[in-house]
This record gives sequence, C-alpha cells and structure tokens, in this order.
Amino acid sequence: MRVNKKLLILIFCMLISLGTMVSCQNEGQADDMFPQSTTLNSLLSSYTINKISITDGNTGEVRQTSDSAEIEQLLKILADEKFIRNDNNKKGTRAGYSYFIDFYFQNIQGYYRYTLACGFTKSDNFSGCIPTGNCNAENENAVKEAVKDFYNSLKS
Amino acid sequence: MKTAAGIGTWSTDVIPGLEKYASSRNVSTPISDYEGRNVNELTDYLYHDRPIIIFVNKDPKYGDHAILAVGFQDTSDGKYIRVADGWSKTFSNFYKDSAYITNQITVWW
Repeated sequence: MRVNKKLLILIFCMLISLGTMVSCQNEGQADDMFPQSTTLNSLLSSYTINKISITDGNTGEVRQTSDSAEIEQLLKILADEKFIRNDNNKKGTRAGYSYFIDFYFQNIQGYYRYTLACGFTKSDNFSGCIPTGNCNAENENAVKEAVKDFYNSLKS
Repeated sequence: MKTAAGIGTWSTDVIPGLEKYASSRNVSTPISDYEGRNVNELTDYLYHDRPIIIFVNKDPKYGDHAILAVGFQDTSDGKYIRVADGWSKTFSNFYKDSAYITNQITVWW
C-alpha cells in the first residue's frame, strides 16, 4: 500500500496543534499545570511585553511603564529567579501582599499577573497560553527588594 | 491574626484574631465567616448599619485584599458597595458587587 507522505505529515501537524490547544485551555483553568520549578524567562519567552503595571499592596498606588528599556530592566532583574510551585497553601483566602505586577502583551487580550509571595494568575479574559498557579520565588526577599527598587524608580 | 509583612493574612486566621481581640475587651460577640458571596446577607447587614469585612481574590484593582463594606447603593448598573479599602483615608470608594468576593466576615455586637 502506497502511503501519501504529505497527508501523513498534515495529519501529524493537525494532531500536534490540537494537543497544544487542549493543553492551553487546561492551563488557564488548572493551577496544577504550573511547573514544579520555572523561571519568568521561560514562562514569558514567547511573548512581547508592551506594558508593565505595578501595584503597591500597602498603598494601592499604581505605577506603570511602556518604555521598552524599563521593561527590559525589570525582566533582567527577575529573569533567572526560580519560581517553585507551592501546593501547600493554607485553606481559605489570603488578603495582603507587597506588590503585584501586571504584564500586558502585544496582540494578547487581558493581562498576566504575578503577586509576590503568592503566584501567577491571569485576568480580563487573558487570551495567552501561560501556566498559572501558586508559587514562591527561591529568593523571595531579594525579589521583593528588587521590585521595590524598580517600583520606586518609576514615575508616580 | 498572624499577619505577615508582604504576605498578608489568611481568612481562616481572621475570626480567631477578632475573637481574641473581643475577648481582651471583655466582649462576647458572634463572628461568622461566609465563604463565597452572599449579596442578600451583605446588604442586610449594611442595611442594619453593620459593617462587614469582605475578602476579594484576583480582583483587577485590589488583587487579594480585604476591604470593609460600610454601605451600598442599588443602581441600574448593579449594586455598588461603599468601602473603606485601607488604601485611602476616605469612605468614598465604591466597589461593584462581583464574583471576586470570596469571603464575608460578619461581627455582631
């Protein structure tokens, strides 16, 4: 029997696409899809960030930037920090945090949020495909200080 | 309430904290936690001049935060809750009733 190679390749590609789509849909809903350990670099590698907004949890003041050099500076600070999945969260809801950072991407609806010492979430019908979940940075205090310095360097 | 700087307070630690405070003032008061959002209870409490602690989660503006509801208003656009949010010194903050509400903690005295 002669096999049509082109047809086989086409079916193979379709199966891979379907698998990726299903995987993305699940990622948006299930926190357990968050990797055991990852970096911001690998989470955001396929996306172009065009705006960053940081909210100070103590005052509610929001500072934001669309300047590519400033965005690059923050990414450089956080790029290699390891985020380790936290499955042992206490029952209930937590209130309070030092800062959260909202990442806005080119051609993507909504935003991806990192709340320090808490984890990653997505909001406003985020149309991207990035895992969400509770996690802790390996160097939580260092991250907090770095984000605080960066926040203070932004114009209010 | 086991509040930790930069990490916050768990809703499950709020009631023991409030009870401890009430006890230190020799006051016995029922405190209850409703997990989820119950708009009828919320507005009923506010209607009787009882403030109510609201926990919001993943809220676009507040993130994971606790706010104190002190009043409400029905509008054609839905219910707006007047809140003290701890971020400003005014009570003139209005929070639109939403699915981001995860807990309501009531104190009756």
